[in-house]
Amino acid sequence: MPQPRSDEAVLEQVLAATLQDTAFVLFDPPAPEAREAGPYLRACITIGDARDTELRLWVPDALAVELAETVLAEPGAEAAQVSATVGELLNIIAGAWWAEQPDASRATELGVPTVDARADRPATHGLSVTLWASGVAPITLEAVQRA
Amino acid sequence: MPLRVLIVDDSPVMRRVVRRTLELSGHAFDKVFECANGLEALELLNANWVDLVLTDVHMPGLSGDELIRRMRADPVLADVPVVVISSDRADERVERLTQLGARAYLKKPFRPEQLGSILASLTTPGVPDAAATL
Repeated sequence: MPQPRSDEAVLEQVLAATLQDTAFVLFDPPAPEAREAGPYLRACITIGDARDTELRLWVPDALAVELAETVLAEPGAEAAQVSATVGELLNIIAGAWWAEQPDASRATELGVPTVDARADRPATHGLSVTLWASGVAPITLEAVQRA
Repeated sequence: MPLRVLIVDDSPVMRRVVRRTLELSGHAFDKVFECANGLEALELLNANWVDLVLTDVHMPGLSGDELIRRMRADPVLADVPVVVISSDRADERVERLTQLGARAYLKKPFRPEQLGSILASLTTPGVPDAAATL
């Protein structure tokens, strides 16, 4: 069976396209005032025939709130709305990522996204990419092959 | 003429995304309805005329596939254009939904101009049906 192509360019492309088109996020190189501080919201989703790949997305809490308020087009997003928005964004990212894999013509098995609040800063073990939203806040996407 | 559109998606976030994208698409709308699954959609369609349905695929209750099938079997709803909006970009899924009667398939993420183009092709007299997969 062909293995998913998990290169950084694909991760970067699907992350940038999804957040630009859906949440109007612009990405720039990290600025001097870049924020590295957490805590983070971490979303995970499994994908593939055997759900053997997991995509993980880390978004700083403050940025996650901004994303939700932009996507929902209303201020004062509550925690549940923020989690739902980040989970939905990862769902879209996962679909776009799968489309870039060698055997993407087959229907996708996408899991239900899970979102953990107050996660530690990204400690990636697989292939990952970090983009800087407007140059100041890092968003990390990782693709991990599950055992 | 302002359009009447129905958005069907079990995710409130995605319904908001689609509604906002509609607002940015350049078209005028008389009414934008929202439903969380196919059953709710059929109930609403029995009481309200719409020009276009935008539906997700995977929904509890009644899926997008079944919604399309039931609309095509209903003489009143058979000609209402249905556009599928999904994260699932697999060719076999697109083909199956098109065979069921979906008029276009919009893959997430999508931009307002892409949705606007589909709306124009499906609701403007004289504009060829795009039968689009974007």
